[in-house]
Amino acid sequence: MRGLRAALAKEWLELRRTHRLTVLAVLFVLIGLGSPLLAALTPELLSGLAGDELGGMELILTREPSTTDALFQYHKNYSLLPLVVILSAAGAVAGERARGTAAMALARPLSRSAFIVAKALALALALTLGTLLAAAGALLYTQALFGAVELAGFALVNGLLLLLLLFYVALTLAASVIAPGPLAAAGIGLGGLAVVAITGMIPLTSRLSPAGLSAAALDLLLGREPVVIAGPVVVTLALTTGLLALALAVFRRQEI
Amino acid sequence: MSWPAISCRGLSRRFGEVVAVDRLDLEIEGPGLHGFLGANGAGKTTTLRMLVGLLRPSAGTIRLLGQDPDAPELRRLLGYLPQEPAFYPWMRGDEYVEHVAAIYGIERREARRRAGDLLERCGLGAKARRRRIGGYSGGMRQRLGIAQALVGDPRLLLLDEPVSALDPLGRAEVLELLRELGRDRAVFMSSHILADVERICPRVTILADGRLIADEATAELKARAHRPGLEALIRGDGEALRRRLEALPGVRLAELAAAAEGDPAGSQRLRISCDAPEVAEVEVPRALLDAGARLLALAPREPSLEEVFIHLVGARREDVPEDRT
Repeated sequence: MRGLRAALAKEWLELRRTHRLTVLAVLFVLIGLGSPLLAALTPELLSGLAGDELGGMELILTREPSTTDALFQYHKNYSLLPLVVILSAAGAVAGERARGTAAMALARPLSRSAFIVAKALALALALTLGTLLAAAGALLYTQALFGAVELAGFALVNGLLLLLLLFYVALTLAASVIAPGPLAAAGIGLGGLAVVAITGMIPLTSRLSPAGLSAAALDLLLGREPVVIAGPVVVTLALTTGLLALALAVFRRQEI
Repeated sequence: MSWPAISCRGLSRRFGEVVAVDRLDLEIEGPGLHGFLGANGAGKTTTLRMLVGLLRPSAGTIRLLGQDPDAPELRRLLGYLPQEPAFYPWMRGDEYVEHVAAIYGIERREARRRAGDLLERCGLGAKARRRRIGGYSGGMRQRLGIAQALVGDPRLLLLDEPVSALDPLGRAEVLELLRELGRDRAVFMSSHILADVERICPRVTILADGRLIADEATAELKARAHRPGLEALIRGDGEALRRRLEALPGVRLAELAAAAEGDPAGSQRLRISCDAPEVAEVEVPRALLDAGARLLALAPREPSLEEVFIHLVGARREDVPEDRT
């Protein structure tokens, strides 16, 4: 792809200069460190919240928070990230088209495929590094507060959650190509998020939806059996690839 | 030796019912500068965007530098400046040109050297080029736009209003740069500032309502559209004289013009455009003398490109009703 390296360098520089990389890093660090902390503080938080609201009744916690609670919290907080990805990537193509920078870029020896792929790669790299940060923070802090974490399983959980985020990158990039502007692209992305969430709630579709990745990750964390991974992984990979291919196909024919 | 730079056959572009460009046939050769003129909405920008591949033609063919416009290596030979260049505000000027150089496959050290040299030539000093583009004025952005169009050392430059945002000094500098570039590459530039085009472009193409109305050497165009005319320097009631001349049969237009440098105090300039040489050479001087005008100077006048343009485009509007559907 002509010009991919230069385009990727520009995308990475943009993430840094516009502080999106910093914001993402902070978010991931907060998720990583904050989740075990939140789990550890939950009894105090609940006790403090209960008090007079229970009308004199006493709140009795039957167990102390554990590693499972910390990782459950991690999963819950990580699950907010698709929204961040959609809002961050919605303007990736639509914004450049509206501002006129896409026209200048594409009049050069830069292939349209490279233009799109560079954006996907830059976001994927940022999210992967972010996930590593979050995972490292969660792992270390959980081990410090609660005890050992099973490494292989935790790595697999993060892999599944990251794949889900990459699916949303592909979805939002495709939306950004197709939609007339960034707001419309964000709308399509959020619509996709809702569809995935709904398919995840329906037993018939849940194990063949990208939402199945999140469900499988949770099952792994909670030690539930059986854990259905293959179906959601294959479907999500296929959808991600398909959405990127759609974005490329549409963009190649689009007038700028 | 000349070579084919731009070749269009039957090039058309519709936007719904509106025909923005209508069966344009164009043959531009390099090296050299070629002006591309037209009123607002004539189809100049649409044509340029089709040439660089941002818009698809509704009909017709394009060849650039003798190649199909989709040929992969062709883009390395092109430089483009759009009418309103858009940049990344978070990038510095030098970074932007280096980024463009990288897209052209230029190695980093050479890209840095070339960026510095081009930005200097385009009037962006060291301090300016290290500032973020978000803080640039319109003129600085246009200079940056020209630098980025040149960084790949293009054989064909397509420039849409390259000097419109520049002050007179900046325009003069950039026009001189373009004149230099035109010695060994093809420069196809649109502009509203006809005096600039007249100054540096030996050939012009004029569009009106999406159609080609002229495509020839600037000098030939002026000669073809030339109406015999005179310029008189007089003392006296210029307005009364003007009205008297305009009433003369065969005089198309008489107008008072701005004083030129060196004109004596109290004098006025009269420009007279006639239908026929004998009117200009016999009738008008006689009328001036009969009116008792104090004639300080009388000389034949060549029309400017602006006058020719107004005449051609205006004549077309009279002949062809507004209908681009």
